[in-house]
Amino acid sequence: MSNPVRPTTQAVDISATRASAAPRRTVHRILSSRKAVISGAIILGLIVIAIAAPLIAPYDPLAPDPSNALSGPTAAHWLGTDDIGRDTLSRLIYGIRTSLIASFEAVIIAVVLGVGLGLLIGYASGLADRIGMRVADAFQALPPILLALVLASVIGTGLVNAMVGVGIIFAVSFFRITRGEVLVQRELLYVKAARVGGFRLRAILFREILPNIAPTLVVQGAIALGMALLVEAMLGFLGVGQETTQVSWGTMLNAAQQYQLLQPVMTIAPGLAITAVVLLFNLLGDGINESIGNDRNRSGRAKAWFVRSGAPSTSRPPAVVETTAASDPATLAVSNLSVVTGGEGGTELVSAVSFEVRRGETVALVGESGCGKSMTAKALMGLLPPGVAVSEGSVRVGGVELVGADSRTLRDVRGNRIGMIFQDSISSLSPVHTIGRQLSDAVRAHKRVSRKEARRSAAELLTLVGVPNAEARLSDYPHQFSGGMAQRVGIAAALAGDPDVLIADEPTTALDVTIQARVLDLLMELRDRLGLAVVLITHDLGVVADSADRVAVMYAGQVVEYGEVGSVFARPQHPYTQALLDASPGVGSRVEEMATIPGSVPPPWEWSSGCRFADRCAFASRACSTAVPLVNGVRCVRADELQLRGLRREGASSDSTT
Amino acid sequence: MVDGVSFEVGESTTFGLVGESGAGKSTVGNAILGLAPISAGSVVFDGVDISSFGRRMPLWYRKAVQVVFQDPLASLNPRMTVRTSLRHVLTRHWPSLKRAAVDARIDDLLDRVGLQPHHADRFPRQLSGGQCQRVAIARAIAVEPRLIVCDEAVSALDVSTQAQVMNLLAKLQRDMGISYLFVAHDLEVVRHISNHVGVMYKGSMVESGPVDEVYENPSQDYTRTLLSATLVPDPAVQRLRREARTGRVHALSGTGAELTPEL
Repeated sequence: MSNPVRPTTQAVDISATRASAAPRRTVHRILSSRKAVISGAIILGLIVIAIAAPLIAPYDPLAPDPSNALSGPTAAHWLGTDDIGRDTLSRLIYGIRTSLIASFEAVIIAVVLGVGLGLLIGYASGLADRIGMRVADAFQALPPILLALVLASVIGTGLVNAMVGVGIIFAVSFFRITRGEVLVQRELLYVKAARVGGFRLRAILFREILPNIAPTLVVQGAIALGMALLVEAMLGFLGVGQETTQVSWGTMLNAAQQYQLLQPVMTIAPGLAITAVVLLFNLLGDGINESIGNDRNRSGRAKAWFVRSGAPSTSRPPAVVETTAASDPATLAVSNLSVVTGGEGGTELVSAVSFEVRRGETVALVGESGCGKSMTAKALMGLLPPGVAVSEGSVRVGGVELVGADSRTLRDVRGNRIGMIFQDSISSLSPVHTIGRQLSDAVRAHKRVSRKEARRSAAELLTLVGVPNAEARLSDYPHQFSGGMAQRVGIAAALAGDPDVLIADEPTTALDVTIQARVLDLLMELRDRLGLAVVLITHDLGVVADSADRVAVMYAGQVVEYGEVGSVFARPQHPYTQALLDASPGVGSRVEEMATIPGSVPPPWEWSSGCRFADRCAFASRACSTAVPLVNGVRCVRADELQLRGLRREGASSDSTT
Repeated sequence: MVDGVSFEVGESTTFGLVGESGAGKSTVGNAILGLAPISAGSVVFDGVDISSFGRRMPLWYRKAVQVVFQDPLASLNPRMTVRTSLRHVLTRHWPSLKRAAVDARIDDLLDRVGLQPHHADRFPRQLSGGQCQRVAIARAIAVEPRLIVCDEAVSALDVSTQAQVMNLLAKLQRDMGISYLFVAHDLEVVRHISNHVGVMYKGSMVESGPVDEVYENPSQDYTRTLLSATLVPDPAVQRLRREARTGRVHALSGTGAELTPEL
């Protein structure tokens, strides 16, 4: 039903910048978080102390010694004694037992109940979900202490019973979180595949879905442990549910509070203990949370658009140069452009790309994902992701050098000279402002005009890109436009600054065929009418054949073939171009077996110093292991001897059309 | 959403379903898979009406009808190795299978889809898109199905990988006699792989028939519009199509607004 959207090449490119492709398991990630490991280790230590309490504690925590009551810290009693002379240190150690048992009891009840119900109800949804959520709302309104008190009076006092009540209240938040996560997961394809696989409900819930939501629940669990400990201390302080055989930090605090004037030291030990352990659990949750979210937040610090970090030997002339060939303002000239990640000596993502686009001309960059097309486009716009920078080469728009230019020059060039269209225009527009506001803002960013005039220009732009009833649609929001119309709005936004160069990154990939054709027609019409220089980035050879004058075929960060579309497709000289053509379905005859290229595009850190396509090439020879320059538009040492057949077509020969 | 769509998929053949987004192609696939409700009409598999099954599909049907989705990475459980995913499917349908026999089957399945035995111990994230799609295909053929619904199964793949996966599907059809319902928006891909094709538009099937007939002699305007909008990597052909299409678009915009959903 939904439009088939190709994964954006951007994702591939950015993941390629990571030094290692090996994913890390959640456990490993958590273990690499210092916060989580240290707090976890201390908690483990506390558990050991709780178990070994009879061995460690110097005194019986319940044995009174009236002769030594309310003593301060002494050599015999390090932390002093309480009102009937019991040793505070021993009571503190035994108190760990009570606290931990009570917290784990409450949290285990909460997890079993909350997660179990959350899984079932979230997966079932519908009526069960509505009832479940209302019940949860009602329970959430009750404070945990209150329910603990009520439960203790109904099913009998005692810490165990009180903590059951706390567990039930905590279960509500586990239920909510689990349900929310399940609602997301059940729509994912792997769950649908499991349903089609005929798996039982139990297997789908516990084996397929649960492991995928577990990290979130673990974080919640750690925080809940701290909260349960706090509630236990409160109950102890209030004197609810305590048995005389148990030592609780809360009870200790209560006693200390009564004798505060006689022995102020008494409050310090239990008070600090409660604070510290609650903090520890929160730290643990925090640490786990951060380490799980690591992958999303980890990106470089360097906010470099155009940074020269490369070898100075190849450095280019100063910022603004008027050159003879490139003085036409509509000319984009890219030469020897290289993009690296990880600073000097880092991995190259784009290697020495050169091409030129003149007024009224379309040049296509074509290749598979991971070949550097989008990275090249981003470099042209100065929109490289953090940590990625241009290392050498030059990008000139109408003679203005962009590599190494200051931010003011760049801002001036972006929009005023270069406009950009993305695959998904909706996401490049703000959802909370009307199209009219966004377009007129774009106009005003480039021209000093009044609001009224800007709005009129915005309407003109919409009319220009073929949006019917433009005036009225200015007050619509982006989501009110269908895919094809949204892309037209995207084009209008790109044209707001009256640019000379238009960079279109997969502009029609997410569109249906009929819409794709119209958007391409529009682009070409605008190119001719406004005299634009268009850079068309695409993976689709059909789009190239339809709309481009010249084509740069990219493979693994390099241009491997460059020339007029007609001659490149009819008589390709690089085996990769030929392989791409062969692998495209629907070129004339229907053969049973489609030609394929073995393997896949290598990631940047595996690019060889010789021909990067050699591993997958049917014509590779020993000569291919040395670096291959681009000669006469081809990067292949065997270009002259190879007789590639070009398009396999029945009937019409491509030579007849020139 | 989908209204009165009728077609048949024959033994060991491929029925292609084309159309634009929102045409209801995937809904048809989901109905057959029991992932979307059927309000009227019937899906008959081997003489049995599947709408009579109620909420839960019987296991024999799950064993007979499988699926390969568009997004290869998302269709595999991220927390399971390839081996675990495949083992769960095998032990669900052959509960008495011994561990060693399961492992042997997994090796055989991976071999059939062109993967190496060592891929069994990888997680989906460690595989490329094409490799993930091969695993998804291995999971589908693990139960020896009679029909596989391929829902945009090659749309997210790069050209070279797409061709590899299409060849693989064709080979599996020859070897195992599987039928495919091949749902895709790419007309050329569908043409390459299908014996019969159905063109869907706004929830109905506007045209169907043998592939060559529909592609060479489309009887419906909508089919012709689709075909003329399809781009092929041949500048000469494209020039002709562009001329035809700019003519067409103008002609259509006056008369058949219902045929042009977006504009």
